[in-house]
Amino acid sequence: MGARVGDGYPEDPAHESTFTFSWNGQEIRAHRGATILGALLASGHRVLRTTRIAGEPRGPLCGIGVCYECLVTVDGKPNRRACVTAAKPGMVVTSGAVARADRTES
Amino acid sequence: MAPNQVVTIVGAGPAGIAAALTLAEYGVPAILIDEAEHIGGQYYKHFGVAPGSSRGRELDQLRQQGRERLTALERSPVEVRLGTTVWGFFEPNRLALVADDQVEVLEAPSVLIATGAIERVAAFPGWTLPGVMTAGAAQRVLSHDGVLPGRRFVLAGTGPLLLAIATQIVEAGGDVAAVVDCVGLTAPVRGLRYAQAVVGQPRRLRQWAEYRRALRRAGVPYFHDYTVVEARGEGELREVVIAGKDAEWNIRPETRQVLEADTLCVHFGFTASTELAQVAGCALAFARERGGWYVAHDDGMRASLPGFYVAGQVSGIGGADLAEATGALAGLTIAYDRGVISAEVYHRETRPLRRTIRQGRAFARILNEVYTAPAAIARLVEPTTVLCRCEEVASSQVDQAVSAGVTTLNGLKRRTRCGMGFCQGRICSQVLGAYLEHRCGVAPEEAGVFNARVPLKPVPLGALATIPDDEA
Repeated sequence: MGARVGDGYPEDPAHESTFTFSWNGQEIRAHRGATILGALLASGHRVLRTTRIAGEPRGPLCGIGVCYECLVTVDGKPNRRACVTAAKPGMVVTSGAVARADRTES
Repeated sequence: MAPNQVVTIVGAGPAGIAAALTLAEYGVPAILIDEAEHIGGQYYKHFGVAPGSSRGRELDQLRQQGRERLTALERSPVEVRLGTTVWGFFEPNRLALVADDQVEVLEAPSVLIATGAIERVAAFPGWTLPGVMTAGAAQRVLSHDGVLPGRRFVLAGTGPLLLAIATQIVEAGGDVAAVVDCVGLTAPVRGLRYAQAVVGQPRRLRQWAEYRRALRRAGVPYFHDYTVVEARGEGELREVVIAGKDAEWNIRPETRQVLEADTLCVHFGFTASTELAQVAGCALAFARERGGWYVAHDDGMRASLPGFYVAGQVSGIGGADLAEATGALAGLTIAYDRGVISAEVYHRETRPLRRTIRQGRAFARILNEVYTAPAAIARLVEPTTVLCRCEEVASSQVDQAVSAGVTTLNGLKRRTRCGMGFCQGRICSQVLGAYLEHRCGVAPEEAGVFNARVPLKPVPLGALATIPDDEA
């Protein structure tokens, strides 16, 4: 079995099983049921945010919603975990800055 | 405890499902809660591989097993709540939940904690670079999304799962530059210490041998007694430096190699997810053969706090068969404690489970003692290496705190902000435990665990406003 990597999902109009959402202004194709993380990785995006203090790039670490490294902003809501958040048609996802965990609305 | 009071099971993996089905069998009402949108935890989630291959058959069997459990659950009166995070516990016995940004407070007179485990990681220079992830993360995007998270992989760490996932990546068409195992497969059978437990598990041994053969066939280089020493790249992973090491983790410089790779998958076994048990006030215990810290329990899976039970990985790391047996045992104990079944039935029904658990723990001991990251892995850490990823605390800052006399994780938290970020120390506690033990000679029992605090997972403020008035 070959899995997709870096090339995005192929268009599949016959089955209408793909849709698009926006990532930092760029159109990303996703399969129904995909997580935001899965769709972004399929399109070759793995840098999801920069850190608060050093401004270092970060990507996913644990993949199961524990490490909070893959935090993104979804439709204006900050600090959403890309790995456990389902991608939805028309969603606007950005690599928002992450504030301190103890001082922010998450 | 009244027979008809509902049991709240937190965690719908193999242990939680087994407990729920057992309770249903004896007519004890149960609610099964999981944060994920799917049932089965991390275990019953696998992706399809080529049909007809033996690996394919193995996964088919797993999927079949998973489907059977799911069907049994659907036919049972168990109430299943998915997409629901348990974020707190309030006296006397209320669980705080959040689902779809809506908060709910649930009366929970008895609670079965089956919150599972997370993968163990280790800190090394460059481990925060995008492209460095756990092997389980790679497996999850493969299984859930059918996506390979990169093109060229290095897998580093130890344990059978490292090999399993390497095999899955190869079968999915990924290019695996190397599997780097800090232990080596023959380690447990070099001595007699673990021989009996190994011989008792022929199925597992066959499985491991199969992974090795599959990787050899695919021409994947396998390095044992080697470790990753550095991840490099500008903004993203480009290179992985590996090297041979001796038993004390002295790096053999002449063996250093630089491998080109865009994805480094690390895996050093598992560590129990004890946070909910902690905030409820259940005692923890530490044993290397159980994989470190776990929720203390008696031989019926009762936790130290009345009304609380525990099952699965959170009662000691040991895989799915063991998790299911402890789940069923916990279910029977609850039925017995409520007077639903007699002592005679309890003893008869639990006897085979106890045997499975005994054998399972003996085998798990090998995984937990041999195929793990010893404290000496902290040798890889350099002064600028980040130990707490959320709060960006470098090891030099931890050294300063240690010089000032800090010897516990909670002391480090106050002094350095380690563990104060979004993950609440779930990742850095493992790294810091090894670091304190290796660099400062502080035993894990003395270093302790981070105090768990509510909310266990960040809850949106808007959601908190949805708490009913009488609970606020």
